[in-house]
Amino acid sequence: MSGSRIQNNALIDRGKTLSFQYDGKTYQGHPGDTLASALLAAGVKIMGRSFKYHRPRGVWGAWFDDSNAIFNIALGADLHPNCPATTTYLEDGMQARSVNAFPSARFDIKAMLDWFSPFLPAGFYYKTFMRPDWHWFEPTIRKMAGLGKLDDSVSDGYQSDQIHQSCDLLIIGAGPAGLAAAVNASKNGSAVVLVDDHNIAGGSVYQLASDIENQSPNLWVEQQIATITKNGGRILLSTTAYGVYDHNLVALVQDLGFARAPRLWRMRANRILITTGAIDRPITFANNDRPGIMSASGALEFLGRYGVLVGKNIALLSSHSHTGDTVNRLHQAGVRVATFTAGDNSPIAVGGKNLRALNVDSISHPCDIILASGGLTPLVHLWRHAGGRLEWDEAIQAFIPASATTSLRAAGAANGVYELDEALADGRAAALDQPSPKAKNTYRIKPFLPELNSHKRQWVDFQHDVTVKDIELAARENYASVEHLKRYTTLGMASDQGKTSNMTGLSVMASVQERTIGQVGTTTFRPPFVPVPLEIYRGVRRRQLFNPPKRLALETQHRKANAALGEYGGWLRPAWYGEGDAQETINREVIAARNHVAIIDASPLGKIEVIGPDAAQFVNFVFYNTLSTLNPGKIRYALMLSERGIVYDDAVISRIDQNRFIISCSSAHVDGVNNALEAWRQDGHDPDRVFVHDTTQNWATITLSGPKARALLSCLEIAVDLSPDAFPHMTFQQSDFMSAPARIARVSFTGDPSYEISVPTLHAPALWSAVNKAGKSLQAALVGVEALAILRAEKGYIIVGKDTDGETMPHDIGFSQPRLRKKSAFVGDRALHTDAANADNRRRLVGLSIPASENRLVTGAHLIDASGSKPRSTGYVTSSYDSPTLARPIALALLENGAVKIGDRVTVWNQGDVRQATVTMPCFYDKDGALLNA
Amino acid sequence: MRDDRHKWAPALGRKYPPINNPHLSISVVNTGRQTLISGPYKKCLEAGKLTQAAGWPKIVTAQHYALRLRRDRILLVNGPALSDGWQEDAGICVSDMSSAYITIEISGECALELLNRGTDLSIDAASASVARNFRGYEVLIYRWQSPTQFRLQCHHGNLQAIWHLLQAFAQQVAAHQPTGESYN
Repeated sequence: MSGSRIQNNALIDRGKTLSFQYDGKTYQGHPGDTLASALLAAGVKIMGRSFKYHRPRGVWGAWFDDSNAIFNIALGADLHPNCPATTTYLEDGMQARSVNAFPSARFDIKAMLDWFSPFLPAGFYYKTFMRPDWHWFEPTIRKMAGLGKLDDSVSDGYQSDQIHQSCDLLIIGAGPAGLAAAVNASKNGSAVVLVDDHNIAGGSVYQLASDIENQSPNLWVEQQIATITKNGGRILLSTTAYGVYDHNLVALVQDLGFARAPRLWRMRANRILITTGAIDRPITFANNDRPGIMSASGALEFLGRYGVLVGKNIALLSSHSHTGDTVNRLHQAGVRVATFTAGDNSPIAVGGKNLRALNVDSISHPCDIILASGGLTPLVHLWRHAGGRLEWDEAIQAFIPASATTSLRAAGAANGVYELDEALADGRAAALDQPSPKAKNTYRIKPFLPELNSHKRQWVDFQHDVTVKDIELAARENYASVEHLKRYTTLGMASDQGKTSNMTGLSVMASVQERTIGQVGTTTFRPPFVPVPLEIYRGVRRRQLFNPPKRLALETQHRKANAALGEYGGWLRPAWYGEGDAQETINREVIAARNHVAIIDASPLGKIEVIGPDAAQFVNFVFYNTLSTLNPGKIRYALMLSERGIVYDDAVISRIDQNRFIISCSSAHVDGVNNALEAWRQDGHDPDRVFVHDTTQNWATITLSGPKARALLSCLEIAVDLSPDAFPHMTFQQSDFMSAPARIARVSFTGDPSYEISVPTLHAPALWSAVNKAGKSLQAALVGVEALAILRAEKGYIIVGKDTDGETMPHDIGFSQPRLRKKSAFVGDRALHTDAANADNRRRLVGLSIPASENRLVTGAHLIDASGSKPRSTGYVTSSYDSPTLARPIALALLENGAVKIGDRVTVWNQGDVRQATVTMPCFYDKDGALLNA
Repeated sequence: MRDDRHKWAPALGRKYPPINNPHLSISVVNTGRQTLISGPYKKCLEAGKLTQAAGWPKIVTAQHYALRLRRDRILLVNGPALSDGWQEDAGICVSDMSSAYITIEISGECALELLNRGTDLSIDAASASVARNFRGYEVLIYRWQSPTQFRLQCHHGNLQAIWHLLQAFAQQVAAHQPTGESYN
């Protein structure tokens, strides 16, 4: 291949010159060039090496249909790997290096791997590198795999913008059919968005040898654009539609320049028109992977857009009737062209790094470039993303769009309409959702049958070095379905995802199996159509915005009180308060809570109201425990089960009146419980007689807990009778606090008498201030979540998800009665009576006692039964703390058949460390509840 | 057991300094009483002494108005005081939510473009409900007073994160062309 620049036409700015480096040498180009076009113009032939055999590669196509020229590119402080040379626009100062080649693509030290090709056919790694242990070979194989080089530094400022937009008609592809369609639709008043991945619209018009509708291609394109924009149409260039998703959502990625994060457009369209064109299909013949062999349309594209003549003495190998147009265009550029029909003969490309000739029927035809076109392949990927079907068109030897949703349409070459006038008419009709005019279809193609059983290598996938022989091998080994063929040979699995190799591979497999290509079928096309950076999905979601916790209304007060803050259940909450050693501080909080009174911000606790005349029946159905008998003013602990009978959450449920309940579920599960309640409300219940209101964030809750809790509460201006008879444990009262409603629930998570005071969040600071002021004389202490975890464990109160797992049923944690006695239906009921639910060896909640002189157990440590031939895990530690109250370690655990093992010794194993513990009831503090009910 | 207080910028409660640039203005506003009412739609409106609840893209101009959240639910803003709980005669249930929601006003020529960075909003795509998913957060978005003025209501616990998002979006709006058009 000896490329050169022609002096006229083209879409580059010849007035400016840009300088860049490739594999250590300096070259020049112009604004508007891609790296590939600039290198071709400079006569560079080799722009890459294949993945497996490191064979030299030139460019095949002029845009994303080339998979050979892939560079690592540095510009200033930015280094970006795996940039396709054909789609990366040139910028001054770029330094490009071929991936997968050292020291250069022209001379690569790993080229000798090609000598071993007979031993490295497709699938060889399934049969080699296995013994004695495949791990021996793994590090080396991993090093050799992959392409490109990642920069170690972090790119600050590389942040994608992400925008939602909508339109009436989204037209994908601004070639002739797309532009004609956009003009028609915009004139007709539709809100049109036209996208194209090039920086200049026009598509294949620049390949034309003649005018289009009596105008030069440039002028014609300008006029279409002017009309579209005059009628309010929007045009997005350098924008690739890479995926079509549900409900006509199309993902567009807009290139904003090298090393600038692209912009993601989430475009919702009422209708989608795919005018993405078609690309050349390679032809298999001996040595068809040599630098200097490229697609016919690629050569015309380099000529039309970039003014690059890829060669002076061209051999054109083709199987279809559009060859004449190609020859005319090349003749216009002053090139000698010899044409040959593919399939009539067995061509052989002659030459290694420098192509010298094409041998046909033993006659050598000197040439410096071979253009090949085995037919046109419509780009139907987006059609398939959207669930559209394809059908095989025998006449044009291509898969074309068939049935799809009514909002999806294809036109032009993407629709198998290759003649220009007909493509324009097709686009115009599609724009108005009118039937396409009947096509004359002058395109003729002679089906190309690959030569099988040849001793010469014929390439199918240039990137992954997959040959016709590899496909024959796959068929012999019965990997004959297209999906198996792909995975066995890696055909189409490189960065171009089979755009150029897919059809060729299918035609080989069809020949091997003596079937048609239509019968062989295609693999499934999935987004993205081209590689896109992960950054487009990140955008602003980074650092503090990645998964920010919810914030408490009293956060300012907690920070003022020197609280250590941590994320608990999706909220940023005080872990402990004060300076110094964290564990010592937490222990002091525990002691203060046990001896005086704890002040705890419990605002994240759920407050989901279930309201309506059927509320009682509803909560009785959704929850495990019987709630229909709960009287107004009373509170009951209840479990929410899944339909499999597994404990999903626990809650304390207050009945306010006949028609109203408050579900105080765990803070981490508020959304889940709310969703479950709403789902059940709409299923099997009258939705006009029961409603669910999540009022969690309307109420702030401050808990007072400890022997002095009542005394502290009495200091607040809340008019409530606090005497034990009037306000026993597990009851509820309503009052006011400073003219705002106040709810007080006497319910405990610590084991000591506790009062949860809830006021509207706007009044939380006032309540917090009053509580702290009043608490001073009572030695009240602010207590964080860490101390709370210890307090509840001392009492044996579970945390769902910590002391329960994906198998735990209510009777495993001591709640057996509803399972045995509750007569009305409830969620999970049936699952509680299966063989698995009744098994003796179910893991049950127990306590573990450890001597004070020993360290606490490790959470997650296994409880093992060593009596058999092999030790077996029979459970594990779920919670473990040093108890300041009891001055010794305590633990909770789930243990097989734990209920009958109380008093037994159990072996505890953790990563080789073996301890002993005694199984106890899961309660270490106030076992008879005397303090709790005081 | 970690102390992450330094990893998170302090929340400002409900007092956030407004964001102003030539294209946008964003501020937290006070909207008074907010009441969630569920039940038959007409009965919900009757309780709020209104005849309709705003959907998208209706422009709300009154100080006392209702937002439609779903088929059988409205949020009454600055409506009459109602008792919480079940109202037997109307067949509706009521919950005060005055402390739950924060209201953010976003106005300016690029206000819709900013909102479109968080969710799919188009004047041409009507919806009976103002409930939206805004970058994963459940919010209410509606037009307020004029075509270029909007209100976004969210739960107070999410205000810090949503405000931070709006700041980031405002910077993106300021940095890029409004529509990103480019053609030869």
